[in-house]
Amino acid sequence: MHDRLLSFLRTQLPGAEGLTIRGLHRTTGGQSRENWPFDASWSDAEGPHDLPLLLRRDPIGSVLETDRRVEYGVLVALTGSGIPAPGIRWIDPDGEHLGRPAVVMDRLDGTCDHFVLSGGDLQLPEPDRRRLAERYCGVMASIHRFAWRDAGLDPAFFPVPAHPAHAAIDHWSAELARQQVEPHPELTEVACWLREHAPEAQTVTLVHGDLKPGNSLLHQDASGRWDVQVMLDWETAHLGDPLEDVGWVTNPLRQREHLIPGVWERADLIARWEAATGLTADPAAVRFWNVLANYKLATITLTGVRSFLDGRGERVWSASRSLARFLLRQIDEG
Amino acid sequence: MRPTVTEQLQGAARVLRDVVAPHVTDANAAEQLGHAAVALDALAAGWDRYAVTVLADLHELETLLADLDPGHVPGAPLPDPAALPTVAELDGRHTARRAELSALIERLHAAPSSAGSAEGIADALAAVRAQLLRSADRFA
Repeated sequence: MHDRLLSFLRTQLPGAEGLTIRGLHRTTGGQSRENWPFDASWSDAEGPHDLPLLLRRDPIGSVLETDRRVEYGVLVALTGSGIPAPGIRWIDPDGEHLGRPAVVMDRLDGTCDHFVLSGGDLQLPEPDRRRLAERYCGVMASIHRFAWRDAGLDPAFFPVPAHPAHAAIDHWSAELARQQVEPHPELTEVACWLREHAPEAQTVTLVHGDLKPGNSLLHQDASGRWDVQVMLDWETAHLGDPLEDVGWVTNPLRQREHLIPGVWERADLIARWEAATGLTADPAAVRFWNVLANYKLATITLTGVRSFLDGRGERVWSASRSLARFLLRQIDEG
Repeated sequence: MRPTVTEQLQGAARVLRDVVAPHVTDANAAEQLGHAAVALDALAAGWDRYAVTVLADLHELETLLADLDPGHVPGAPLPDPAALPTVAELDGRHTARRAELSALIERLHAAPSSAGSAEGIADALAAVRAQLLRSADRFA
């Protein structure tokens, strides 16, 4: 990988002299992409450079099959927007240089704590966790306020859906059909329920698609305050209904990641998001997107199963019947 | 249900051999890892016939004891080992029926008027959901 990466960087930095890479290794984090942190240094007409970088490459088998051009495109568009996203450098869209499609982006040091809001590794005091929860909500709102029409997103990778809810069902149903290795009548029933309850979108915005503390890096400022430094994993970003993200972060199955019991409840999150965006979160629509979130998770799980059965995955997956049970109860609630 | 137990055992052995083993540098740990992978392969190859094998042996044992041991108390009659399906056979039939159920769900949702009264459709869908929930509870 070292030689391939060096060769790739030479094609991207034709004027570079003394190009070297150091510390390249594959980390364990990330189930959908391979992450390879490294440092690169070179000199050019602007002077010497020494940068911490991250190579994200498609794995042989993944739980989520996405196009690196989407990730690259959205990160280019977000540059200078004020939304905390990593700076993007280069793309090898078809894997010509790096074996499989890949992007290289700036690497930021920080702490990843999946369950920081409910305690997690950092065990922050409650007021700090509440402040972080509000910050995550603010980041989500800023993504939904992003002026995507002026951002030059390539319509080939960022189509504007006529009906975002139907587009989401179509996308994930097609993905399920492509990945499943056996029938799942539970998911057939859920898909039918989704089609019968698909809400109209009040607007179309940029949607992150996988907002969670586990997809962010935190840093501590000089006064000891923790803050969100950057949101990661933009590979499922698309144009759609902003309530898709709201439904993702209020998914009852994953409330431990997003809520603080008695302090930062579902209603608090939604009220703050409404205030920050000027949009409204119709409860029936949020419920639809909660169900869609778990339908998506079920599809991702079955993608892992297929990858495992094809001998491409490195993790022993099994179909989640408990997720199917949760979904059936979700749609049975009313 | 995929992955089947056999596929999970084979997959776990593959992960140990192909992903973990190349990075194990301690000789004893590497040797034990190899044994664990072989054990998983052996389980994958034989577990599905285990019930049939035990049943066949049980038949022979009980016949032998009934013939030779006056104190032997016969238990409940045993099923014929030849009639006992393997889990793979049950899985195949189960999968086929679940495919039928998926198609039925789509028909019920898509064409309620042609498939019967609205009330009948609602009752049918309620029965389907109840079965799916019981099934999910059973396997979760």
